[in-house]
Amino acid sequence: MTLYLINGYETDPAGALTSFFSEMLENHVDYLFLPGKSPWSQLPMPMLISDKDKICSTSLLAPVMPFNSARQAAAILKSDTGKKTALFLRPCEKRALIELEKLNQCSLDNGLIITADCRGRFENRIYLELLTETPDLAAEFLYNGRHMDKITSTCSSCTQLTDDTADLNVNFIGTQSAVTFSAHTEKGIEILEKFDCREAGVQETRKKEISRMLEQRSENLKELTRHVLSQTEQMIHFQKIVGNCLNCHNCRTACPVCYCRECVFLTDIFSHTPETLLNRADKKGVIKLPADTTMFHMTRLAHMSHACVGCGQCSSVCPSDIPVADIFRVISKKTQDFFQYMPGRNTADKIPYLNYKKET
Amino acid sequence: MNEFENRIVIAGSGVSGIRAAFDLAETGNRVILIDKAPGHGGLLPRLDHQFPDNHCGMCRMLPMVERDPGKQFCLKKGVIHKNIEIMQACEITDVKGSPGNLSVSLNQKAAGIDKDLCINCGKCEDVCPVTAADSFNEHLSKRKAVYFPVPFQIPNKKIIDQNHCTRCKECLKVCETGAIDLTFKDRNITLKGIQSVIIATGSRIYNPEKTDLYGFGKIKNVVTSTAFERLISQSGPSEGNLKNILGKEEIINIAWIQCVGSRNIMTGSDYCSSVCCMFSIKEALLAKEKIGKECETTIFYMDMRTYGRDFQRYRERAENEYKVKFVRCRIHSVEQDTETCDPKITYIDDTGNQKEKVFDLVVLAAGKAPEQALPQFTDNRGVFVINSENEFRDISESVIEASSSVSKTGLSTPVPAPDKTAVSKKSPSFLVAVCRGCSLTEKNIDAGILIDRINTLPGMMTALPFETACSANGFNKLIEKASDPVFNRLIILSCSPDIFMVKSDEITRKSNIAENGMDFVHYSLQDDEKSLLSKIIASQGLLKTRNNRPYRSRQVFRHCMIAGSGPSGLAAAKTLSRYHIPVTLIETEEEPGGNLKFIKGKPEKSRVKKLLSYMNEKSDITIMTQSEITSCKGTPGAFTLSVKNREGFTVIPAGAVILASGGEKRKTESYGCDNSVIMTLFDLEQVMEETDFKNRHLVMIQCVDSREEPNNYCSRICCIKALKTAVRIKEREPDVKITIIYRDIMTYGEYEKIYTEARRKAIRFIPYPRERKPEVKKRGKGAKVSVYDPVLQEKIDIDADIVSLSTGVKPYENRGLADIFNLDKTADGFIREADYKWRPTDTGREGIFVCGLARRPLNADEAVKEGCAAAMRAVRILSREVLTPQLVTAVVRHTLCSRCQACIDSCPYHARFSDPESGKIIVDDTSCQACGTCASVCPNSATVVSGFEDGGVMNQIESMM
Repeated sequence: MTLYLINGYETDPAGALTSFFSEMLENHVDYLFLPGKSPWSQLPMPMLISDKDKICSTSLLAPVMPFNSARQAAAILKSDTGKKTALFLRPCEKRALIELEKLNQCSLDNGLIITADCRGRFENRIYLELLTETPDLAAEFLYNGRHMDKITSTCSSCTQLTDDTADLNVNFIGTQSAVTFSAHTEKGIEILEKFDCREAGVQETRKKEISRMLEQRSENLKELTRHVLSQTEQMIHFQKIVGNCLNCHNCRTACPVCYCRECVFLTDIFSHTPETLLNRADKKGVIKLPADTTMFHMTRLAHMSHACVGCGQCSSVCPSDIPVADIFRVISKKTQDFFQYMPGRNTADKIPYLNYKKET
Repeated sequence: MNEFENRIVIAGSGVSGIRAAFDLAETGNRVILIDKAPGHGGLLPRLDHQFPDNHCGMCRMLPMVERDPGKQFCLKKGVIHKNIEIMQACEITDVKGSPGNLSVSLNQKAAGIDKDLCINCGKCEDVCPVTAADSFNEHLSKRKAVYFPVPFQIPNKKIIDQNHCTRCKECLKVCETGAIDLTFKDRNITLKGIQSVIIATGSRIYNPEKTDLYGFGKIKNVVTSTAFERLISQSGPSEGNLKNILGKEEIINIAWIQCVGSRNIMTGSDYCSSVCCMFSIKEALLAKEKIGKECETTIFYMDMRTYGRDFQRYRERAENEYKVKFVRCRIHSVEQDTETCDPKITYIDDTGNQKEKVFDLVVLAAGKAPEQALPQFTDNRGVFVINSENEFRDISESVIEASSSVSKTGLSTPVPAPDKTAVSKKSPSFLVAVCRGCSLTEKNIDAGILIDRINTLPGMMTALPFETACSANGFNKLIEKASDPVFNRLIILSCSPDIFMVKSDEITRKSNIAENGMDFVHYSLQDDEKSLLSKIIASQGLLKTRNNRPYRSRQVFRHCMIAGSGPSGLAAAKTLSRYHIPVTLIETEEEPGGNLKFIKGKPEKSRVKKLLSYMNEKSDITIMTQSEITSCKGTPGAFTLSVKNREGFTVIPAGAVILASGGEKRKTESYGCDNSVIMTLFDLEQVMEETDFKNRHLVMIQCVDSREEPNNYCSRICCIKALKTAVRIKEREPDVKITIIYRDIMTYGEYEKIYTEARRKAIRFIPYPRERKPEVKKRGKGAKVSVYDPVLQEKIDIDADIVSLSTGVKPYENRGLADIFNLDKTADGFIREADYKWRPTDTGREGIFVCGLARRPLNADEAVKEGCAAAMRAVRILSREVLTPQLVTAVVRHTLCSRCQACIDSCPYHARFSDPESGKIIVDDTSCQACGTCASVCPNSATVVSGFEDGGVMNQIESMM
């Protein structure tokens, strides 16, 4: 894959990207969908921008993701407005968006998807703490991997550091402090050609750095898998892990691929009558409340493990510190390997349970 | 209940009989389905696996539109439909009178056991001292003189085999209900006022004992194909296990011998049995599956007749992927090997050398037995014979044949909107009927205690005991109680729920309980009071959530659109006009008739002319030429089609559509085809009358561009056409030399006689394998054909004056009907039917049918039959005034629906679509078969199957936890 430098936007990542997006909004798209700092929040939230002066350069590359914005992005792309939007997403956000497209929750016809290399993210609290010590946190982290030991557990076992199926990707890892771009689709190539670019000769160092990181990450994933499997060998173990669940459903709200308009766990089927609960208590002598927490997590695994993009938000939002994402990461990998399915890679890949093969 | 205008007797309950019965029942007629055997189904209950997917699929014959009158039961177990009455062990002895008032005399063999009194306790069987060979298992196992004729049918009652019964009366002594009668008096029954009689008695299978060639009956491990089916069947003598059977510890090496009792002039069987090649390949694959990789399978054949659309690819998969060996040879004999006592096959291979091989098992592909004359009464008007040619047919062709024959009766009674009853809106009040009184139920439980416990359960539960509710008497008492308006739900607890399940219709009719207000709880020998109580609570949990849903009937538009006016399209039109259903034929060409224009011969031509003028004269048949269908919207019974012609677009509503878009002959550039010396067979046919063949040499090459990629299918007509042409030329000009170079001669069925005739006329046949094609070079005024002769084992040159190339047929590609109707196509571009065997003329979309060359290669006669059969399928819908949804269908709860459309993608019946305006997911509830696939892919139960909503199912789970 060829990496390009855009003349004028080679270094100073935040500045370069700000200029890139300004030019994009001015000439090529109607809206931008970017992380930005709002007057209402210290954390960079997804922003829908029509005025280029509102681009917040410091938030663009902030190593934090208050939530996976795929569902917000899908909301913008839900129907054909005829307006083009460039969306700047983390690889896991892009993957979730692709899954939502497959589930008919949006159409990418009007979207230009731009991803950026991702070394991981910090939990919100840690990010805010680090920001006070390291003003240039984004660049330090991106190019030099500073504070890498503080990224989330999910990120540290994530092997998808970059994206090669989005329309465009902004490359930082191993690019020697330069902002480089790569295009992977016709749409992406068409846009990139409109910018004044030239080839960047940093492929080798990039490859080396990525493979070094992947090695470490794979090692972490192996360790995580071993740990999770040992903890979930039997149903009783699994029940113990999710035993602290308070049925707040934060994980399902944060999950970018949980797309149901109303979760089945919020419907009448799970609002039990007192008789049902008393009957259960009668039968077993004792029951834990709230009920159905195991059922809830098992169901989410059944529904979503093929589509899990591994963003880790479910763990981040859990008030009971249940390692939801770790479980998903490991179980999902099994499901996805079984079906040879890579969620979010491509809109053309069929969802496994809809991929019927006719017997002849 | 509507009064039946038409009562029809069908004799024979095999595939054709059942298909005919459903066709008639679904069009409002009353059917009395009789069978000579004590169980229904013919050969089918004995076959577990069928080509092409090697599963069973008989249930696909069940009604799909308005299916509630029929129970959704495995058809091997029972044919259960409101309009079908079954009489077993019956034979027609005479038919008198005229159509509409036929008087049909039947002889019913005594069963020895009164089925109304028998409670299936099994004591008679326990004490019966007689053992006899079990014919259900092809004599591979033993049974008593009192036995189940088919072990799994419902309601299943034992019978006594009079021939083996010694009248020892042991059974009489133990029978608690006095059901046994050993006088065996046959009954003579006369059915009066019968509209028509349909004979579907089928053919018999050849008994290989008649030829001593194969060692059958002498060597234990030489069996027939049907016996092999039993060996690999779950319900067979060894439960499908091929170990320790037939005196063999292990069976590894199996041989199939083809054409046993077929294609043999010596045994008076100058015919091909048509189906054996495919079932042997299927059996070889199943053997591999059952036994494992080490299994070796060899098929000894003369010609591998893979003449059906997808047969050739199936064979090749067997050969290449599964390594089934195919040996082309003549079998000399099968003898017992002196050393191993196993069968030893001696055969002459294609190079003329004699070879021997010993096998663990030899399967004889026994075909059709020589035909028997039909009884006299079949000449009576009003008697229709299915398969009067007495051909052996596979399931697919039998189904087509049956529907086509039924269509000739033209019988239908307008089917009124059914009187649906769903559970009342009143709060649930249960009658729990506990069957008791026989030694079976009282074994492990105290029914009294159980009844007391049920009565203390919350939620309006009333349990009552019924003495032997399965007997006629007990059942009547149950009905009487269930008629009490206090009750609106019914749970029956018994040892055989099947018996009551099949009577649910009767219960609804006679009592206060709606069809979806009852459930049947099985009481097994492992149950105790506690487990039964849980089961009852589970059943209660399901039934209490059943609700009352309105059924909106939809008007049916009584008009059928037919795309294509070739043989199949015209046949379909003629059939529909017999039912007085208006038809529009859409033809892209200037003239109707399709490939009929190529028909040669005076009598045939005048028949075509007559048919076309019939079409023009009939007022309810409209022919639109130079027109094409451009779009189709809507649901069965109410489609809207747009038709384009020179005048522009016309929108035409139709209740059903038949696709008969046909196909054409394939052109070729192979073998240097120059359309003069080297020409296609189609062209030769056109010029043969004017060509002088005296002292000339005609070489015919078969399978040109066929049966190899990309057209890897047999066109079915070329061998027969080539042989007919060759014979005709030879008859006209005895001094012609004809050589036919072929791969496998596909003269299936009675067409075998043409092959015999051709050989008798000294036409020379040289086989070639695909890898070693003949070569053709133009030379002088003729051509030199070089071909490898396997007998001489060398290449020979033939000086040919004319070379004919059999190029086969293909479907029209340019009429994207499959896309317009959103249908699947096969790899070769034919429109794919819903199910090759059981629903050959249905497409994946209800209300859209397919027939003729658009679906598969076939000859004109077959196309006509298929057209009639497709029309009969359309009549099912078009003979109704309205279509009413089923009690159980999928429903969408729009407020929960995220519209991901996974349900649309996964619906196997095309019964769902997204409403373009609202975006809502709409269920076409006449097409919906309530399979539940949608409900299982929907993550939040926005789509559910009515009557099986999460609530009820969760209640059931809850009660069992």
